[in-house]
Amino acid sequence: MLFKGLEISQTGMAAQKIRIDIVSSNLANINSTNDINTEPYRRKIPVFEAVLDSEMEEGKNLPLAKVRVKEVVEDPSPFKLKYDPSNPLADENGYVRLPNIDPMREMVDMMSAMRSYEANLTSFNTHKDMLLKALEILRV
Amino acid sequence: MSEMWQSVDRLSNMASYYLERTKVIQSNIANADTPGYKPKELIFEKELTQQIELKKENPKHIDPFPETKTEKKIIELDNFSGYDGNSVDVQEELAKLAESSIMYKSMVETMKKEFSKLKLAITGR
Repeated sequence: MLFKGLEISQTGMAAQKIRIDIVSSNLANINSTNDINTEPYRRKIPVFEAVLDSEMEEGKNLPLAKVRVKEVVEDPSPFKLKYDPSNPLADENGYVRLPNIDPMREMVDMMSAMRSYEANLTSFNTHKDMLLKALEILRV
Repeated sequence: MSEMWQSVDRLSNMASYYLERTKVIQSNIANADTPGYKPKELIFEKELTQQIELKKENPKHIDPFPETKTEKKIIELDNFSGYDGNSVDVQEELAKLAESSIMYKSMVETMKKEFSKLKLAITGR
C-alpha cells in the first residue's frame, strides 16, 4: 500500500490531538466542583494503543502499527481539599473538594503532546516528499 | 532482467527498501507514547550469490558481477525503556527518517540519471 505511511502518521497526529483536547478539558475544569452530592471533576487520562496492521508486501509482513486512543480513564488520585467553611459545598469540617488536577503536570503533558504531534507531522511530510520524488522519474 | 535494466533494477530494490523502512520508522514515531511499544527496524541483508561460472582463460579477466540477493528482516530493538515499557527514542527515529529519505531520494535521482542515459542511447542525441 502506497499511502500506508501517511495514514500511520496521520493516526499519530490524531492521537496527539486528542491528548491535547483532554489536557484542555482538564485545565478548563480545574475549578469544577459540581454539586454537593456528586464528586468534583476527575482528571482524565487518554490511554494509547498500538494497532498492528500487517502489510503484505512481496510475501513479507511489515509489522506496521497505527496508534489509537483505546480509552480515556480517570485519575484515581485523591481530590484536593481547600478549607473554605463559608462555601455552600463545604463538608461538615469546612473543606471543599477540588478536582485532582495539577496545572503544571497538564502543561508538561501538553508540551509533550505538541512535540509528538510535530514529530508525526515531520514524518508525514518526509514520506510525502519521498512519494512525490518518485513521480519525477516520469519526467525523464 | 536484461543487462540494460540491471542497474535500474538494483536501484529500485534499494529504493523500495528505504520506502518500507520509512513506513516502519513512521509507525515507531506514531507509537512514541504507546505504553509497552517496542520500536522496530527493517534491516537489509545482502546475500552475495555467485552468478553462473564463466570460464576464465586469462587471469586478467574479471569475475562476473556477483548477483545480490536481498533479504529484508524486521527486528525489534530493545533499548532501555521507561516506566511504561515504551522504548521509542523520537530523536533517533527522526534521524533515521531523515537518513532513509535522503537515501531514497538519491536512489531515485540516480535512477533518473540511468533513464536519461538509456534515452540518450536510444535516441542517439
